[in-house]
Parts: sequence; structure tokens; C-alpha cells
Amino acid sequence: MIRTKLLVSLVDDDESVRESLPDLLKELGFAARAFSSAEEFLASNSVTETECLILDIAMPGMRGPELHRELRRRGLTIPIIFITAHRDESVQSRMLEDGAVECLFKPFSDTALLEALNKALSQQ
Amino acid sequence: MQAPPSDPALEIKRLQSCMNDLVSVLALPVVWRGREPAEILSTFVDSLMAMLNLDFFYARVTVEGDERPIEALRVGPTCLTSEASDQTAQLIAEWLKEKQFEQPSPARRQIGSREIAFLPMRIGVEGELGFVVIGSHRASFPEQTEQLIMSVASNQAAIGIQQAQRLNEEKRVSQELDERVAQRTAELAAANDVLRKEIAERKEIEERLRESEAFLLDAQHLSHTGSWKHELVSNKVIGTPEIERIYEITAQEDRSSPEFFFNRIHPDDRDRERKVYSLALNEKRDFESDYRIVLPDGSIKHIHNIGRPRLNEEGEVVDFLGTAIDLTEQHKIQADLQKAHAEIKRSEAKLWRVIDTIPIIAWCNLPDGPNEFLNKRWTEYTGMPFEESHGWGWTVAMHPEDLQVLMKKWQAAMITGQPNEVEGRFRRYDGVYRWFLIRTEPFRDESGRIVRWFGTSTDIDERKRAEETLQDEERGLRLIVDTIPGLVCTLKPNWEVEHINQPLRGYFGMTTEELTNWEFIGVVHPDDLDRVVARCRHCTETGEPYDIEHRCRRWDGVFRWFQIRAMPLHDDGNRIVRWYLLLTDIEDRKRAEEAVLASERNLSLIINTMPVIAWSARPDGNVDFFNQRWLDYTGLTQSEAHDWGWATAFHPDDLGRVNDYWRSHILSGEPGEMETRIRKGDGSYRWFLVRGEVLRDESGTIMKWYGTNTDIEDRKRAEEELLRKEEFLAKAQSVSATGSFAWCAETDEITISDEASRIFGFDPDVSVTSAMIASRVHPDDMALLTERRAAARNFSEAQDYEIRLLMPDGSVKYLQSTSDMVREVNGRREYIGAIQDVTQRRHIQEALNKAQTELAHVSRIMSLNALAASIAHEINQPLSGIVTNAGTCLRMLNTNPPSIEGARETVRRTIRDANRASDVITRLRSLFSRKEVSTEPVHINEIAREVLALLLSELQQNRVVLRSEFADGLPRVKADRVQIQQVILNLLRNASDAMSSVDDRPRQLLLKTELDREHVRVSVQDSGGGFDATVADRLFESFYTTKPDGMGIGLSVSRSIIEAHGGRLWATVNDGPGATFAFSIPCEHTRY
Repeated sequence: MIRTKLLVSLVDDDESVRESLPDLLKELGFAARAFSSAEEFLASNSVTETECLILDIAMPGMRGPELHRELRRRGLTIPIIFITAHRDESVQSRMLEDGAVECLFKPFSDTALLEALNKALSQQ
Repeated sequence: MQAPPSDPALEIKRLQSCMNDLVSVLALPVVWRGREPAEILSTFVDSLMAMLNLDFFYARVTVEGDERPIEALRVGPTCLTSEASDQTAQLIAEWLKEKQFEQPSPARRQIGSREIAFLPMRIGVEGELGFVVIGSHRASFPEQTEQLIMSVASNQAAIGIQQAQRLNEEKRVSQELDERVAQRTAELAAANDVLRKEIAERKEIEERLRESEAFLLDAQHLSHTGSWKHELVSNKVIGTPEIERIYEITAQEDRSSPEFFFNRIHPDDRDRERKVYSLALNEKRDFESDYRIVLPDGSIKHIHNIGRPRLNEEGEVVDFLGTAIDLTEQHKIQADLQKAHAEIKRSEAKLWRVIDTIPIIAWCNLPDGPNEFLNKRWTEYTGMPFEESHGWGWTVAMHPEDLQVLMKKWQAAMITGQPNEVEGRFRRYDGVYRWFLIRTEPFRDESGRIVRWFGTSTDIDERKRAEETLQDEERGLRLIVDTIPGLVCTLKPNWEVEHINQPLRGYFGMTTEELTNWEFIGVVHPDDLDRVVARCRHCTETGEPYDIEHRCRRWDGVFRWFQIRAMPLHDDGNRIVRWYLLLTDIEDRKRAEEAVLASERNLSLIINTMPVIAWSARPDGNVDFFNQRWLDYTGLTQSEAHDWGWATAFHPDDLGRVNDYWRSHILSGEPGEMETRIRKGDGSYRWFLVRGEVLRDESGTIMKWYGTNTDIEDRKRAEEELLRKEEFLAKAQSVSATGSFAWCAETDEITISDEASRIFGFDPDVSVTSAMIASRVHPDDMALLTERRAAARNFSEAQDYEIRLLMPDGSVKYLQSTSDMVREVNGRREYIGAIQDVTQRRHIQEALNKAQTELAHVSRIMSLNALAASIAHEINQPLSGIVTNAGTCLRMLNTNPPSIEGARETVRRTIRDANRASDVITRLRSLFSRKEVSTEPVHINEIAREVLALLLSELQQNRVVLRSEFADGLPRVKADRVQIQQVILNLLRNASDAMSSVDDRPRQLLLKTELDREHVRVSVQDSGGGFDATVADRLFESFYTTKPDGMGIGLSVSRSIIEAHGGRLWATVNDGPGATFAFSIPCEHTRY
């Protein structure tokens, strides 16, 4: 099935994640763009183009959930997959309640990511 | 003539007009009713002039009773020129000249520029009233109608005028009548007035008559004078009311006959009066007589009766008129007067008897001097009868020597009018002269004029003689006074100087006369004068003896002390007649006294100014003297303090002791001393040393006790203070386990305090030597002691060192010894110092250090939980990279063809991330491992970076924006890396926590390193809530926390760590929000 690759955007302040995750996404057949902060993402045209957003929760400046709220405020319903290095189930359930597609604890497997992406894209 | 009317209609109209005019004319009388003729005429003329349209109208009427006719003239406009007027006047004159228009006939005349036809006509039934002439220029004039109207009108006018005339006449008559009545009335009124006035006058006259009658009666009554009349023809007597009163005639009595009056006359006078009356009757002349009447009640009145006959033309007596005056009262007054006269005469005679019998000579002189009277005494004394003595005859009995003096005085008295007194000698009948006191007093009438001089001459010969004797005696006395060798003077009762004896005059060098003014001439010392004068006055008034000491000036100007005594001399009547004054020279005595006094004063001054209380007591212990100082101190008076009164000033707690002691010494006679408290005047107590000494006479009997009380309050206090201080010091030494010592560097002599003995384990009673001290020193520290002692000897330095003792029981004591050189006497240096047993402190310190290490560890463990999460986070990050890279790598390798290059890259990243995770774990291990403090030179920046790496994720999670400013080229510090890291970690985490509630501003955190002189400083600045500056110090206390879930250990431990590194940890509040916590530790090569 040949079609234009779907754009997945990544926002994470950790450089190693920004380096590794886009490669994996590309291997999975997506187009990927990485941003080091929420502010950088909001300033880009990915906001309107992206099909899915992989978003770190804890970041300096605007945090992941705040970006999520900001997007909703702008009427943008981009499916969001939260990722976090802080393993806290209460945070996970709160994110899901708030309308996130998935919340993955770092480190996560490529299959877990793929499942979450499929879930996100099937919602569309 | 008038032309016949041509037109019947016109004619009718003309006739109608004529009829109207006639009606108007007939109505005229109505208008005229009540008017005057002239008015009627005038109205008549005006009416017709207008009615008939005339150019001319003249009327003339003569009214009956009025000689002047009434005229009226009216002319139309054509006749108004002056020419026409003249012509008219002429025409009227012509008509009047004619016979009053007997037969008036029409005529035509040229008047002015026109020809006027005139028609005359008479007025009245027979033309008797007058006439009218009317005229018009009309050719047809006068028409028939006009003539008719004219005649009717004239008749009407005549009737009107006549009626008016009649009316006037009636009015006139009536007026006349009125006038006449009025005149009569006025006449009657006038007559009436005259009559009324006459009546009034008569009344007034009658009134006056009545008054005068009443007055007369009153006068008669007041003067008791009655009037009577005896009519001879009828032989009747008429009397005024006063007659009735005098004779007391009652209403019933018939008093009309003269016999009635004669019967009232006293029987003794009655016949005489009858004769007198009949004689006067016969001789027709006046009579006057006095007689008595007897009244019905038997009382008698004296009457003075006067009568006068009245004769008719024939010279016969018609009647007698007379007055009877009641003189009874006058008679009574007269009788009283006579009685009084007799009385006066009797008393006068009595007076004369008195005057003659009094035992002194009494006399009376006329105002100008000569004698008028001398009493019988005079004649008896002088043997001179009054006849020879009166006038100036008495002067022969006067002693010739005295007469002149007397005459002079007598003349002076007559001039001044003053009473006078003179002494003189009168010769007795036997030729002996005796002294008399002659007194004279003027006697004045009401106007103040002297009418007589009255006098007495009293025999004073006896007294005179006595006086002379006295004078003789006095002369003798004065002689004595003058000759006695004492200083004497005599004074009059009023203290005027009388006589001063020769020696006294000699002393003053003055005469008696000069000394009379002693008060003013400076003979009495000025300082004494007031006192002397006051005393003199007092003695003059009271008569008390005079005794005073004062200074008197000698002739040569030298003042000497005198005692002056004065005694009064009384006469028989106890009156003071003289003062005798004796002056005694007491100069020498005075000097001696003064010397004694001065010496006493001096002594008293000494006693009173001595800085101690001095006293004396009798042998029985009763105090009889206290010096001024005692009185000043206690506020008691001398008498209050005497005997045992002083006891009240002693402290109640001491009093019993004092009493016992003092009494025992009185008995034993031993001197003694004791300390006691004595109350000051203000109520406070001070300590005194009371000493008593005894004075004995030759036989050893106690004469007196002498004592002093010395104020030892300050000494006492100092003693107490010293005692207290000593106690305080001993206690302090004991409590602080500090002993003190004094050591002489040269002689090695040593003195130690009790506490020091206890520390060294010596018996306090044993005197300690330097060698004994040395024996206690720990063998390992002997060298230190020797070195220190040498230093003290050589350099005179202050010493401060720690040394150990090895006690006999094998225990070790740590001593801290501090000493300093305090004095250098005779080249000997003395050190005073303190040794403190710090063994316990040492042990505590060590225990504390251990506890702190434990605490730091606990603190680390406490941090572990908090850190666990961030450690997981820290490791999860690289793990996440590893997993992702590994996954990617696999996928890349599984593609066909495999992406070898991509796989290689992901593997490389995997390895890198794995190393990163490994580093994290290594750091954690070192942080949590428990090991002893090991210091090494470290770079602070390195340490700080490692901490940041560890804490970064946690800070991010807390949304803290971290900034770091690390100074370049900082020197290394000697520190325990892990401990310092722990401190930095603690400060960073605190800062992060402090900002957790900040949402309105960035949570900024600054970690800064810098060089601070010899130190490296690390500071952590947050923008949190800061802290209250007042609790800055408490922040570092253990278990003090501002965090809700904090333990309060972190800062306390951190400070301990930093201080263990010789550094300092502090906190300050920022200028902006938040606080800054900083520490500094010395650089590697700095000594501390």
C-alpha cells in the first residue's frame, strides 16, 4: 500500500530520546519530527500537519500536559502519546482520563510504541 | 312791521317755536324761587336774550325798600365795539332822562355798523317796577310773537321779583326780631353775672368775718381773755364764750344779770369791786381792777378786769364794754418764782457758811483782779477784817519776797485766762509767815467770758519744810556720791541723767550736762547700744532692777567692759523717785572669761568637726554628751540622746548585744569596742565601730567614760563584698571545674586554689610545689610543660595550652591552662592563671562528633527515599535511549538490504547511553556509602557539577529553571568530596522545595561558585518565599524546619559539615523574592 507517510511529532528535552526515537519511527514507516520543547513545537507548522504527537511529560518550561491543554484550547485534536521516565501509575491513569491515547513509561519497547501509534491513528 | 307769513308750514313751525318759548318763560318762576331779585333779573335777561336771539337787552328794576335800582345789560356781538358801547351807554342815559318810559315806543338807532330796532317795555302790573329795552338788527323786529313772549316774560319777571321782594322783607323782619331777642338775652346774662359776683363777694366777706370771729374766739381762749357788755337800759350782761369758760358758767345758770358776776367774786373782794364799778359808772370813766372769783367747786381764779363806758349823743352812758382776763396761771408762776427765790437765798446762806467753815482760805476776785470776797478763814488767819482785805488790801499780809512773784503770775493768768498755781508766804495774825499753795481758777459765763476768779490758799508749810529737809539731805547724799571711789550716778524716774559722780565723770572725761545725752555721744559701745537702750526702756516702764554688762568708752577712747546695776528708790506711795546706778569695771574678768570661752569654743569645734562621733558618759554609764556629728547623724537632740536615749538610734537586732556588752564593761571598768549599726536621720543604718575608754582619778576611781563611734560602713561593705566575691569565685571555680594558680617564674613558687587542688587530686591543706604539679602531668606531655615554662620565663608571654594529667588511679584528665603575667616585682614575674578540667568536655566533644556522623548518615538515608525516584528517572533516561536504539538497530538489520550504517550508529548510541547509566550508578554509590571523613584537595566546580547532574531531573520535574555561574580558576579546597556534595545537594533541594508553591513567577535557581579572599564560596539563590530574617539563626538548629514534611536536620548537619571544614554556612534574604544560602571553606593552602 503506497501512500504519503503519516507525520508523527516528538517533543522531549532529552537528547538521546530525540536522537533515537525518530529513527525508530522512520523504520516503522512514519515521517518524524523532533522538538526539544513545547514552545518550539507550537511555533512550527507541525502543529497543523502532525497526525500524532509523542510528548514527554516533565520538561523545563511548558510541560507535556500543559501543551496538551493548549492544543485543545486551540481546537486541535491531535492524538497524544505521553512518555515519561518517572514511573508513576497515578500519573498514567490521570493522563488517560484527560484524553491521551496512551502513556508509556521509559524505557518502552518498539512494539509498545507501535501499538500506541496504531491506536492513535485508528482513532482518526 | 312784520310781513305776513308766506308759507303755512313755516308759519306753523314758527308758531310751535313760539309756544315752546312761552312754556319756557312760564317755567321761569319755578327756577327763581328763593332767589334774590338781582339774580332773578339776570336769569330773566339771559333767558330771553337767547330765546329771542336779541342783539341788545337792558333791564332796570327798582325794588321796594332799596333805593338803588337793579340793572342788567346784555349785548350781542354786533354791539361789542367800543363805539357801540359808548352809543349804548348814551342811549340808556337818554332813556333814563325820559320820564321812565311813561310811554315807551319802539325806535331805531344806529349802533356801531348796524341799525338796531329797540323795543322798550315796562315791568309790573302798572309798570311800577321798572322797564326793559330789547333790541335786534333784524328787520322784522319786533315780531308779534316776540312782543307776546316779551310781555309774558316781563310779567313773570315782575311777579318773580315782587315775590322775592316779599320774601326778603319777611326775612328782614324775622332777623330784626332775632337780634332784639339776642340783645335782651345778653343784657340779662350780664345782669345775672353782676348779681352772682356780688353774692360771691358777700359770701367771701361773710367767710372772712366768720374767720375773724373764730380767730377772735381762739385768741380769747388762748389768752384766757373774755369780752363782755353791760347794757344799762336793760341791765343785761352779754359775754363771749370765753367769759363763760372763765367763770365756768353752766348752761342752766342765768348769767344775764351783773349780780351773777358780782356773786362769783371772792367775798373779800366783792364789795371793793362793786365800789370800783359804781364809781366808774358815775364818773363815766374807764376802770381797771384785779379780783378773785370763787368757782362752784370752791377753787379760786384771779381775774383782771377792764371796762369802758359808751355814751350816746346826750352824753349818757348806754353801756359798758370790757374784757376779763384769767390771771390764775400767772399768779401761780409768780408764787413759784417767789418760792424759788427764797430757796436760793437759803442755799446761798448755807454756801457761805460752808465757805466760811472750810479749813482753807477761799476767795473770789473780780475779772480784772481786785478781790471781791474772802472767807472767814482769811480773817481768822491774818486777823485782818474783810473790809481791810478786799480789793488789794490783802497784799499787806503777803511776804514781800513772794508778792512780786505772785503778782507777776497773777497778771499773766489774767491775760491767758488759764488756771494757775503759785506758792507764797502769808503772815499770820501773830506775825509768823507760813507757806501757802495759792490756786486760782477762772469762772466763765455761757459766752466764755471770765466773770470771776475763784481761788483757794492752802497751808503747805509743813510739806515745804519737809522738802527743804529732803533737799538738804540730798545735797549731803550727792556729796557722798561724789566722794565715793565707785562710779555712780543717779537718774530721774524717767531715766534722765540727774547726777554723775566725779569718778564717773572722770572716766568719761565729760561733764554731767554732756553725759545727759549719753545715747548719742558714743560713750556706750555701738554694738551694745541697742541692747542697753531697750533694757533702759524696759526698766523705766516696769521698775525692775537694771543689771547689764556693756562696754563704756573711757576719756582716752578705749572701751572697757562694765557691769552696770541700777536700783530704783521708791517714795512712801511706792512711786519711783530716783534710780541709783553703779558701774563696775569688769574688763579684766571679761577678758578672762573670753579666753576661757575661746578655748572652749575651740575644743568644741574640734570635737564637733572630728570625723567621728564623740561622746562621754558618767561612771554609771549615762551618756552626758554627744558631739554635733552624732546629732547631725542621728537627727536626735542632745537631750533626746542623753542617758540611755541614744539606744533608740541603734539597730534593734544589735541593741541587746550592745546593752549587754556596755553594761558588762561599766561594771568591770574595762575599755571596750564593738561593731554595731546605728540609724541615720533618714532611717538608713550604717555600721559603726564603737570604742569606750575610761578616765580614772589618782585613786583609780572611774571619773568618766569617753568614747568614739567610727563609721565603718564602707569598710564593712568592702569586707562583705570581698567575702561574697571569694565565695562567688570559689563556687564559680567549683562549678566550672576551674582552678586558679599563681606562679613565680623566677622562684618556681606556686599557689593554687582549692578547686585546683581538687583537680590535681591534692589534699587542699597541703601546700603544693611545682614538682608536685609536674608529677601529675602525663608523661607524654612533660615536654610540653617544660617548653611552656621556659617560654614563660624567657618571653613573658601569655600562655594558653592543653595538657593531660595522668592521675594516680590511671585515669587521664585533660586540662586547659591559661595564664598571663600580672606583675613584675623586684625583677620577679608572677603569672596568674586558670586551669580548667576539660576532660568531660573532651568526652562530650568526642561523643558529639560521633553523633554528628551518625546524624549525617541518617540524613543521607532520609534523603534516599526522595532521591530514589530521581535516581530511577536518571537511569531510565539512558535506558530508554538504549532500548529504543536497540529496537531500531534490530529493525534496521532486519530490512532487506540491512541498513548496516544505521545499525552501527544506533549501536554506538546504545553504548554511550549505557555508559551514562553506569556513571549515574557510580555516583550514587559514592554518595550513599558510609565511610569516614577523608579530606583531599578537590575542585569545587567539579563537585558542584556532579551534584547538578544528579539533581537535574528532579529540578526539571519541579519546573525549576536552573542557572549556574562557576568561576574559572578557583583554587582547590581541602575537603571531603561526598560531604560537600551532600551540603550542595541539600541546599539545592531546599531551594527547589522553597519554590514549589511559586506559580506567578519563574522558579529560578542560581548555583554560583566564586573566590572570597582565602575562601571558596558556594551560593544557592532561589526565588521562593524566603524566610523571616528574625529566625535566620534558628534555621540551622536541629529539627527546626519550615517545611510541612521536613525533618529539620538538613541545614543543621550541613552547617556541622562546613564548620568541620573550617568554613561557615549562612543564609540571607534576597533583595528580590527568595533567599540565598551560602557556604565558604578555606582554600587548600590556607591555615586554619
